[in-house]
Parts: sequence; structure tokens; C-alpha cells
Amino acid sequence: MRLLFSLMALGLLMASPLHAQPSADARRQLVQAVAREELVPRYTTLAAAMAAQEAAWTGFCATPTKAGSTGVQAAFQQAADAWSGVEFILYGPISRDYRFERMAHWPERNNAVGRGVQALLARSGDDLSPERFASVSAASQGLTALERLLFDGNAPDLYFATGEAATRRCAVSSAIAAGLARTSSQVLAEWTGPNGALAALETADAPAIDEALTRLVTDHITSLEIIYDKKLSAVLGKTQAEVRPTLAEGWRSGLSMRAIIINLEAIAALTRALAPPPSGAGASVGAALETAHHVAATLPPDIGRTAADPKQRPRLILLRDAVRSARDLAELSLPDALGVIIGFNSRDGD
Amino acid sequence: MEIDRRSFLAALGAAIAGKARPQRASAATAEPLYVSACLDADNKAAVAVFSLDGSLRFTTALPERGHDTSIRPLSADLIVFARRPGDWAAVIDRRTGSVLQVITAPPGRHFYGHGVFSADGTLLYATENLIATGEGVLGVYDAAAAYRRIGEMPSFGTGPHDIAFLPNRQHMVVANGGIRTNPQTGREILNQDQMDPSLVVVDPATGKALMKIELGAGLRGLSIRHLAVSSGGETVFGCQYTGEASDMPMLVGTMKPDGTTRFLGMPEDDLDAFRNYVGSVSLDAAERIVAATSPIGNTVGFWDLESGRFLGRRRMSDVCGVAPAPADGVFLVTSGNSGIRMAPVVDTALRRLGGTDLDRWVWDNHVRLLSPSARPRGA
Repeated sequence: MRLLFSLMALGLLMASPLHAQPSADARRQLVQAVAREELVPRYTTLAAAMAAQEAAWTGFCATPTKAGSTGVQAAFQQAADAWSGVEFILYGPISRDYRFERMAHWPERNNAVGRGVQALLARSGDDLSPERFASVSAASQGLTALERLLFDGNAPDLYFATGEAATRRCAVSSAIAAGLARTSSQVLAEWTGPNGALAALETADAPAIDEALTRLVTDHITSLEIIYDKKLSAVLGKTQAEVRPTLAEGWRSGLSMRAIIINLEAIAALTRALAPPPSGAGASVGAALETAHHVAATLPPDIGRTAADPKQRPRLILLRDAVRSARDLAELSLPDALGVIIGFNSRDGD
Repeated sequence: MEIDRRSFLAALGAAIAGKARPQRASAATAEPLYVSACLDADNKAAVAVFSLDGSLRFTTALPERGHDTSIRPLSADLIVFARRPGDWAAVIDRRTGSVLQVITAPPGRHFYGHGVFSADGTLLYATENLIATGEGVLGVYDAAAAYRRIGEMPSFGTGPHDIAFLPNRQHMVVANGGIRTNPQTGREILNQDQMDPSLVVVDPATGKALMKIELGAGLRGLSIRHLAVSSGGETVFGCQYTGEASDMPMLVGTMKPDGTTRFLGMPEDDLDAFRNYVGSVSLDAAERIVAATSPIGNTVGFWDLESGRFLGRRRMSDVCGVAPAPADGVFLVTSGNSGIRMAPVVDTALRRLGGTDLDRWVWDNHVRLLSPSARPRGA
């Protein structure tokens, strides 16, 4: 099936006329357009969703009610969706001050999130002020930690118990939500501010523009690699006996497939921005992403359960292969179409 | 797929014949020069020598990706090893870039990408795989006799990777990665559950192991791969973890001459940033600071060698190669997609090196400091 996908996409690639690589001026305009029209709007959405989530927690913790818990869960979903729409970008201010690591912490290693959250819950006092909270383990500061607090086991009920533990749980959750909102608004401000990253692109020299373009293409291809490898293959296992449902991103909140769908939509949008029509490369990668999206959209929300279900598992394998062929195609065509070279010490190091 | 040796070597000869492209007249100079394997915009492999002002001295085309380099003392020879499981190494004049010779691994063996010269520059030791059995071998090549292979000795482990001399220049330390591979199955790990990584000190005069350090059953999946040795005899080693992705073992350690080992610790967030993978390790010019890179984690981290204290990390996309800069506490770092930078331990900003030449290349895994001056071949 993978071969078929690749051949279909290659057919598209070869049917399109070859286009000259963009000139230096065109590259600057391209990078600026991608940043202005693709990246900044996503960080705007992210900052808004995180601010709304922070507000939801403030309200909920003032009077924890069942209805309120549904509200913070909905706010979490909006926030997680916004993050899924931009998590594949490492280029730019998100990479400063370990912000990327503080937004979410997945895949989780060595139970770092679980231990970090437990340690936070066990402590007391004024350790949740913005200044002090920013220095706790990054694993406990992000959406992954908040998901655990809000969705793990009988988690929502723990907010309604009377006493210190419930109050503390709400305070920790609020601190995480506030931190996420603060980080997101900082990223947005550093993109759009007077001396921000967007303004810097106006005056950046050619190597800096080339690096931006290279990094964006790298982020594009890497994101597909992560979906293929970490989000799908790791959960699927080599055989049905080796399914690992708890390796799925967002398995506690039931958002694992939804996150992939949003990822694919965002990567498709980035593809259109980087290689707009009539780019053959853009069209073929876009078609491959559409195939993957089409398969993903028909699958149930819980990847782990789907992987273990003999009836559904082949569809998930189909999705994995579709993502992989989109990645292969992107790697084959995008760098060349954009005139950049991509190194992957990260993938095939030694 | 079996490689047809003859046609492959013919391709190698064709690829490197007369392809050296001197970028400027080379001259004996005290200016520090660096060497690294790389790829150009057309994905063609090369090895490049460059200076700190960002200009290329030369690039020499290679038939496929190179890995590490080895500098022959008292000579102008520079060896570029093929990336594993390649079976060739090119001898290049490090002043001009011209290819002097091609060395091939004997039948049934391949190189692992690293090698080291004896102190007098007469013998080259290369880490090799005896494919039939998976045993690690150190091939011995006589540099004075056109790099004829004159013998071999065991590496006392599986999958030897990096190799370095200890300061006495008599004994070598070998990083046995513990991973068995076969060229027919590429880079696939064939012994995940039986990995046996080790550090071995070998006396090349006798071919005997003087010391073998293993990390223990709990760290079986921690492949020891790269080395940097201080003049005080402390060996820094960098590891790659192949076990459960949810584990998080320490990745950088040191071994004293008496075999005492320790891991260089770091806070969990920092360890997490390395993503269970170290691509290269280095010491700074003063040999007080250790640097380790992770291209998977886009991270370079620093430690104080003596105290083992973690000094922080920086982000750089796809960073892998690392070598000492001339100034104390500063490293030169290379990347597959963001060029070459200077990384001072005291500053969070990494300064881009050069502007034009170096940005056009994809820099491969390792960069090495060439000694500032090179005597002519045979002198």
C-alpha cells in the first residue's frame, strides 16, 4: 500500500512542470508570508485558547462544580487543539527559554510527568507563583500534566472533595493553565512585537532567510516523521499482541486521533504556504496529506483501542503508511522545490 | 543487497579523481582549520576543510557519505572513513584536498567510520566488523607502506565505534557499541536483547585487553559510541540508548585511567532534552569543559569535567558535530540544517560562523580540529 501511495504521488509530481527554485527575493517573501499568514495566526489562536483556559480555571477553582469541570475540560480540549495546530513548529520564539518543552511533554519518559505532578500535589505553600512555578520541572508545566490532573482515572471528582487536597489540585491546575497562557502570549509577542521575529525577517540577511526556510521545511518533514513513528507506530506495535495504548498522545483525554487530524490539517496548510500552486511538489505532498487525512477522519478517537481491534487495526496501519508516504514525498520534493538542503543527523546519526 | 566491490571501487575512483576544489591557495598557517564530512545542495557527499572566518579551504567529493576523520601525525595525510557499513576510507592531502589513495576493508569486513593513528603516524587502527560472526575488530594499516593492512586484533566487544589513544600514546580506548549489524540488513540492530556495550583499553603492541568496563545488566541497551580523551587520561564517553523509549538513562560519562567510571549527571528536564541520544562528545581547548550534542533533541550540553557539574544546555537545530574552539570554554558546533556556530559555555547565544560558504552545506556527524600546521607528506 505504501508503494501505491508513493506511486500515485510521484505520478502527480512528474505530471507537473518543473519549476525553478525561488530567487533570493522570492525566498524572503515566501518566509515572510509563511510566518505572517501561517505561523502568527496559529500563535494568536494558541494565545487566545490558553487565555480562555486560564480564565476557565480561575472561575472553576473559585467554586468547583460538576458543570464547571465540564467547562475546564472543554477549555482543555480547545487549548490542546490549538497546540496540535502549531506543535510541529520549532522555528522561532517557541524554541527560546525551553518554551516548547514547557508547553507539552510528550512522549513522556521515565514517568516524568506523573512524578512531577505528584510532587507538586504533595507540596504546599506559595510555590505556585509565576516566578517560582516557571522553575519546576518542565514536565509538570504543560498540557500533558494538566491532562493527567484533569482526566486520569476518577480525576474530575478529586476537585470536588473537601479539604486541602482538592484545593491544592485546583491551585496546581490553575498554575499550569496560567503558565501556558503566559508562555503562549510571550511567543506571540515575540513574533509580532516591534522588534519581533516577524520584523526581524524584514532585515534578515540571505543566510538567515535560508536558515528559516530550511528550518521550516525540516519542521514539516519532522512532524510527519513524529506522527508516523511516535504517534502511530509506537502504539501499533509490530503485531497486535504488542499494542501499547498508553503510548498514544492524549490517551487520557481521548484526543489521540483528533490531535493527528489537526496535525495533518496544519501540515497541509504549511505545505500550501511553502509551495503554493502551481508547485508540483506542493500539489503532490498536498495530495498525499489529503489521503492520510481522509483515512484519519474515518477512524475512532482512541488510537490504542483501534490498534487492538482486529477489524479496525488495518485502517490504522493504512493511516500509518499514508503518513509515511507523505513524509517520503515531502522529503523527496520540498527541499528541492524550495532550493534548501536538509540535513538529518537527527534521523540517521551514528 | 551485496555491493559489487569492483564497480563500487571504480565509482569511488571516478568520484574522487581530480574533484578536489581548492577555494584559495593553501599555505602553511597557524590558523586553526576544521574538517568534517558533509553533503552539498545536490546531496553529493564531500569532505570539507574550513577556517574560523567561515571560508572553505577545500572540498573533496566522496562517493557516499563520510563519517569521522583521522589526522596522521607528522604528515599531511587526512583519512576520511565511510559511514558504516562502508568499506572504504580515503587518504586525502589535508593541505590541498587531493585524494592520495583509497583504502578498502578486506573482504568480509567493513569499517565503522572511526580510526586513529599511532603517535608516530606509522600505523592506522580502524574499527571494523567481522561480518560473519559480528565480532569487533581493530584493523591495522601500515601508513608508510601505502596503508597495507598488516594485521588485526579483537576490539573485545561487538560493534566497535569510536577509538582513541590514551595520553601515554601506548594504549587505546575503544567504544564497543555492543550492537550487532550486518550490511545485508543495513543498520538494523540484530541483538537488541543481547547487546553488550563496553569500554576496552587495548595494548596494540600485544593485541591484549588491559581493561574492560561494562555498564551492567540494567544498561545493556546503552550503546557507548563516541569518545574524547583528556591529556590527564580521562576518557569522556557519549552513549545512545536503544531500549524502551520511556526509559531515561544518563548518556555521558567518564572513565579515569584506573577504570573508575561515573556518569555526568544533569537535571531531568535537561536529560529529557537529549532524547536518549548523544551524537558527539568533545573537550574544550583547556580540557575543563565537556560538551555533548544531541541532533534528535536539538541540544548541546556542557559539564565541568573535574566536578562533573552540569553547566547548562543550548538549543541548535540538528546539532551533531562538536570540536574545541581556540578559546577556552568555547566549542565549534555543526548542524545538518543550521550551519556552523560557536557555542561559548558562558553565553546562551550561539554565534553563526562565516556567512556564506558554510551555510551551503549539510554538515555530517563529526567535526575535528586539524592541527594548525601540517608538514608535507613524507617529511
